[in-house]
Amino acid sequence: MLRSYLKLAIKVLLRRKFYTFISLFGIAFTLTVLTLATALLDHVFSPVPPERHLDRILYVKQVTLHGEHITLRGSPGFGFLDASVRNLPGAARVTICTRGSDVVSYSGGQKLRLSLKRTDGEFWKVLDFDFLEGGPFTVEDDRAGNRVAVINEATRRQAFGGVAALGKTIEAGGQAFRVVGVVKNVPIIRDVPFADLWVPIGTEPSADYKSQFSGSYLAMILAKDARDLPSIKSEFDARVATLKAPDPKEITSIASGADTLVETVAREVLPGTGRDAHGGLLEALLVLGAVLFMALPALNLMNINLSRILERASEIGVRKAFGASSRALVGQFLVENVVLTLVGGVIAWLVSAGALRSINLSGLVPYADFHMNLRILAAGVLLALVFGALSGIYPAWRMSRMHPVEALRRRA
Amino acid sequence: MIRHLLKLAWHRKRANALVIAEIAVSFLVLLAVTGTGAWFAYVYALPTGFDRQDVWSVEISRAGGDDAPPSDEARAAFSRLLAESKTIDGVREASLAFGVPYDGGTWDWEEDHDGVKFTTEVDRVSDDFDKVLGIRVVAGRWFEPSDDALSFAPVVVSLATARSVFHTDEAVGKKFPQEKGEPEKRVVGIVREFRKAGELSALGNFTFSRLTSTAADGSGPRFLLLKVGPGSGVDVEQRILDRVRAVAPTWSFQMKSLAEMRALRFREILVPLLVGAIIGVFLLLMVGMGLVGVLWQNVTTRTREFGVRRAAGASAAAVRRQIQLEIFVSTSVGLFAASLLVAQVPLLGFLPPHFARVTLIAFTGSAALMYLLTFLCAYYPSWMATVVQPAEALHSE
Amino acid sequence: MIRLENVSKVYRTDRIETLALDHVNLRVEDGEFVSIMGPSGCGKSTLLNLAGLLDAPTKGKIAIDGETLTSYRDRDVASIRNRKIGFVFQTFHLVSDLTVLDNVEIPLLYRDISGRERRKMALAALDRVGLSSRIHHFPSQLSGGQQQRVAVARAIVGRPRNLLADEPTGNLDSQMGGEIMAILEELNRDEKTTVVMVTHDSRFAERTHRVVRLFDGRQVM
Repeated sequence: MLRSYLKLAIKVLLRRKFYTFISLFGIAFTLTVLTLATALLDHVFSPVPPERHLDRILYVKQVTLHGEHITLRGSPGFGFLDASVRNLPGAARVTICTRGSDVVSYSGGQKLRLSLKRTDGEFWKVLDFDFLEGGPFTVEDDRAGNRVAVINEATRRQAFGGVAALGKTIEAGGQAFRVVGVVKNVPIIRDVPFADLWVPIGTEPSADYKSQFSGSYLAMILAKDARDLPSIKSEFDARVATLKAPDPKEITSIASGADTLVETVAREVLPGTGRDAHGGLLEALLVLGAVLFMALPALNLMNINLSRILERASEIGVRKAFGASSRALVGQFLVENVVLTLVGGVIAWLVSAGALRSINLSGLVPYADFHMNLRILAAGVLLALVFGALSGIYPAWRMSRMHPVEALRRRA
Repeated sequence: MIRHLLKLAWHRKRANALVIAEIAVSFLVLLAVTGTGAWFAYVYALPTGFDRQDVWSVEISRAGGDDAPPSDEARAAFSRLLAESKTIDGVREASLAFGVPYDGGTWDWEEDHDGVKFTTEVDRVSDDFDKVLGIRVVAGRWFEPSDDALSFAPVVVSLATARSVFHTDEAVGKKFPQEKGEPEKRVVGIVREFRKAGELSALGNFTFSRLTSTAADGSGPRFLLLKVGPGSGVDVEQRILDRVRAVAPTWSFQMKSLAEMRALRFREILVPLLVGAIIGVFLLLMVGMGLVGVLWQNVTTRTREFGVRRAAGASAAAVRRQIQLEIFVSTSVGLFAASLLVAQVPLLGFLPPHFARVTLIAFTGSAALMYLLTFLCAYYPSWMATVVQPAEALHSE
Repeated sequence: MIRLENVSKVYRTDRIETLALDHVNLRVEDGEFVSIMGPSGCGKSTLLNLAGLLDAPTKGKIAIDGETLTSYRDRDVASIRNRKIGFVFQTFHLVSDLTVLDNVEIPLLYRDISGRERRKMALAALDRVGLSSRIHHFPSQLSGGQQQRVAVARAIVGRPRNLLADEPTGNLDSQMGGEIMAILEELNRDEKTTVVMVTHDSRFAERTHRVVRLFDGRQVM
């Protein structure tokens, strides 16, 4: 039964090559855009080393300081994090580090632009980096303010020509560091672990950072168990409520939150500076966005499908007059539609894979490692089916409602 | 014929509504993208008022943060930085400034009192700023060290500012309109123009105020701006950084050439434009698809009508022309509706001056593109409608 | 005047050839009212379509008002259809999205005349068929007989010398059919319009000057 539907579907689609082409083009284009968007989201939010234990990590990336005259919303300072994230019950480990900052390194007559991160010793235990040489610096290195650094593969290549770099010296931002470890490149889209070189916080040129509530730091909390996350969050909130800013005359209240990765994006993107980051809202908005994006092409495709049916109205009428059930005819039509959508989906998949590969190669996104995986494949299939349904249901319904007489009268 | 087709289109409005809506939306996006592109192209050609060649900026971040006014030690450090820079091998001119070209920030003064209303962009700069950037004064003079002794605060304005604030080119010596109680400001010089954000920035007013080492108000300067000799390389960079770090070891310094900063700002502006263009292309594709769908419906549901028209003596070419004309009418309705929408928004307040010229280009260009697109989409279906003999089209056996 | 000489029409699909007309001759003089009769599938509609230049013959010659057609290319034929022939169909074929008046104007759109002139001629044609009171109605608001009268008005609006009607009363009851027949007779009598009518109804055929009978694509009488 299905095979005869399939054969007929292919024959029908080939009969009207121009319109099949147009429909296929529209489907492939829409699904390509959606697949690429899905791939991007997957690469930003999925648990990829070094953030291997993503389901157990909470981030503190934003703090809002309210005062009578001002509201300051931005990255937390070291002082705030030191007072709020240490020794939270349920936390296995905690690390504080800076956001990446651009520095210039003058190494061997060359000028390199590098992204520098200052971290504590615990950073390397919360995250799981892939070391090609040596190992990380320690908590003691940080306390002593030792001028040591971990660099990534790309920096090793640029600064030292790719040879073993352990023990060599690299200069950055006016300071000289001894290389103690080399790690695999981290893609820039994982902005928390990303850097070109990592050095201890103790190497900051001035000690003023220790007391600041507003600065360029962030914290990661690794929970013992994923189920502890809600309690850690509320503990954090309670702790923050008791804190006093260094300048209590200017700042009267502090708001912040320990967020999952999705929630950090939601907090950044959605308005509101309260305690809760609305991660669920962000996810809902993304789904809505995908549906809206599909709506216009689906509507157009629906029109084309409708024309296809109307063109064969008399054929449908004759079949019905001879006893074909609506169900059989609708089934036939849906097979045609699904074939079209799946072929479009396959094309979209191939184009997306190619596009991702060229993005990787082009260097537009530093250290990008985009590739397709099963999750994206599953999402792609789902999108194709939803798209096929949106564009096929109304025409199928019209077809089932067509009276043989009316259909026959339309055109012989 | 046109009236006939208009009547036909009006009775068919429901079927055509979707396509007309798509055409209207695409046209709006196209207009926005081409309008913005045309504006940037126009504005890019206008002079910036300074020379960015061989100019490097050193961004200064003080240890305790940059928001508080500088302490006495900090102010002394700034003076030493300026003095030191002038002695570095390879540096020709040096100056301190609040903001520098392409830094991505703006500072405005707004005056709205006593019948006076204007806005001007501002920068507070030291006496050698004009030498570093090659700014030329067309009337009066730039700031001088002897200005320390003046009883008022000197300002230098652009010609546009002189015209809009004082309504004359001869503004030297005039008092800058201010609220009562504010220290007096007077114009000491006029420059032809100064566009701090560079070639892609809007055209507006600019005023320079004088940076003194003794000023105790406001935040301190954030940039050291240096003119270096042509072909200066990494060694000069390192030398400069070593010397400034020696003056203030707890401060951090970031050096970039103006050319680099310009590239960054350009990217910030052009990437959204590119994204807009991509969205525009997507919408145009959707319109194309929508049109083809609607036209195919036309062909299949109106074969008999076309057959009748040909029986009544219309040539196949006339029928094809009719279909093209119907599409032309739909497109025109869509464009008209979109234009009405645009006219509703009181853009005149938001748009920069000189925009009228650019709008016309963008408008006609986008409209032409839409007409071309719809014509192309109608081509094949219109052929399909007339490929058979009238008898077959009317066949009802 | 309409003349078809030794005209044949073959329909070809992928695998089958159908001979719809086999060396048929038809000669209708100016002012004649001729009916064409025959069983279903005998080719009478095909014959009428050829006479109305709605289709091209596979073999043979066609002449309208003395002009023999040398090519059946669309641009050559369209002008003749417009000026010399008016066609009335069994299923009316009115454009449902246009009013009665706009429907009748259609043939005049393809001539070089002003809108005002068009309107005048259309109103005259509608008056001729007795529908002046319904000019702003839509076809769906009219009865079958009224719709066919609109179709007749459309066929005569350009004052063609020849009127071809393919089973004009086929979809109408006997009273309305009689009205249409009466209009055709009036046109033939008063304006001297040549009328060729395909019909099933021998009562109507008897009222015409001559009856041509077809059987299996061949002329019988």
